[in-house]
Amino acid sequence: MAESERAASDADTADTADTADTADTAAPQTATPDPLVRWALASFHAAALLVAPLLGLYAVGALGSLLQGVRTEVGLGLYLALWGLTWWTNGRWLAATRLDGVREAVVPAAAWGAVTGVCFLLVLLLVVLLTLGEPAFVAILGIVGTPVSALVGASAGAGFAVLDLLIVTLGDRLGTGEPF
Amino acid sequence: MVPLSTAAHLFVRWLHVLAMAVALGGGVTAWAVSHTADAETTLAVATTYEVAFWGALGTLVMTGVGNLGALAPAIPRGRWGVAFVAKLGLLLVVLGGSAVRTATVRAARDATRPATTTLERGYALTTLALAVLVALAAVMAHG
Repeated sequence: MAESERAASDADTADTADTADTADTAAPQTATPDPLVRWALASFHAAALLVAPLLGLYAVGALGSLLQGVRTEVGLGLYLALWGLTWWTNGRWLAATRLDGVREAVVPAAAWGAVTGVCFLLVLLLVVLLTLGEPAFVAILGIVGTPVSALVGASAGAGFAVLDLLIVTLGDRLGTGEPF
Repeated sequence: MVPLSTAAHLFVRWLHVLAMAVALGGGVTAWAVSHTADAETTLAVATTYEVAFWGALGTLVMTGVGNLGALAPAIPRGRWGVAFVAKLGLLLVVLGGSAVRTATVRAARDATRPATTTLERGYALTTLALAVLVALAAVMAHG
């Protein structure tokens, strides 16, 4: 190969590498998350979000009175709504992160956590509206509850992102047999 | 919690038991396969089990609260309460540990030399923990 051809070939290779780097950088915005990881993390989050508060409520003696006020079918429906919401938002979060840094993972997690919180509040408001039938009361609950649910959701999302980062890192080490 | 009809309550309990059967039975199967089969078969069974496991665990939590609601407002304390707290505490450990196990399966699928021995230990631990949860549930149901 002539020197000029080799130089052109090297430049092409460098361009290809640059393009690949750019694609890698942009990939998380459009990447399809691993369905198994998405399903597992969503199920884990939804279950932990219910079980941990249950323990706390039982410890302070408030569990019985809370459950007394919730119809069984409504409780099942709310859990399915939370599960579905976390599945959706986990998918969006996993598409926006590479899971290779705390800040890079936590920022989108907080944003999608806030979305989860607000969407779940809307489901709760719908249930209250159908149960009590008082639109003014529901509207006040919505106005007051939206920033609170967004803040709680963002905090939970950020916390789960740190936990998930640890889980995925540990899983990567264990699955490939890498030393710790 | 306002009681459903008897049939609906039975359905919720049946779903709870079915979900545990899937989680525990699948755990035993995944453990046995990872102990005896080659890496490819182990990972195929493990991937299928992980999907079923998370569906079963979600169903267990959802229907478990439904069963708990049948006791409201007088949720027992004392010995029953100790078993209940132990059960939920262990469940949280199982949830976190299982998330690590699923992440391990995902990494092993992409590895040139998947760590199937680690998976075998993971399924053994999962099966053991689920068996303890069943024992705690029996204590809560029958004293």
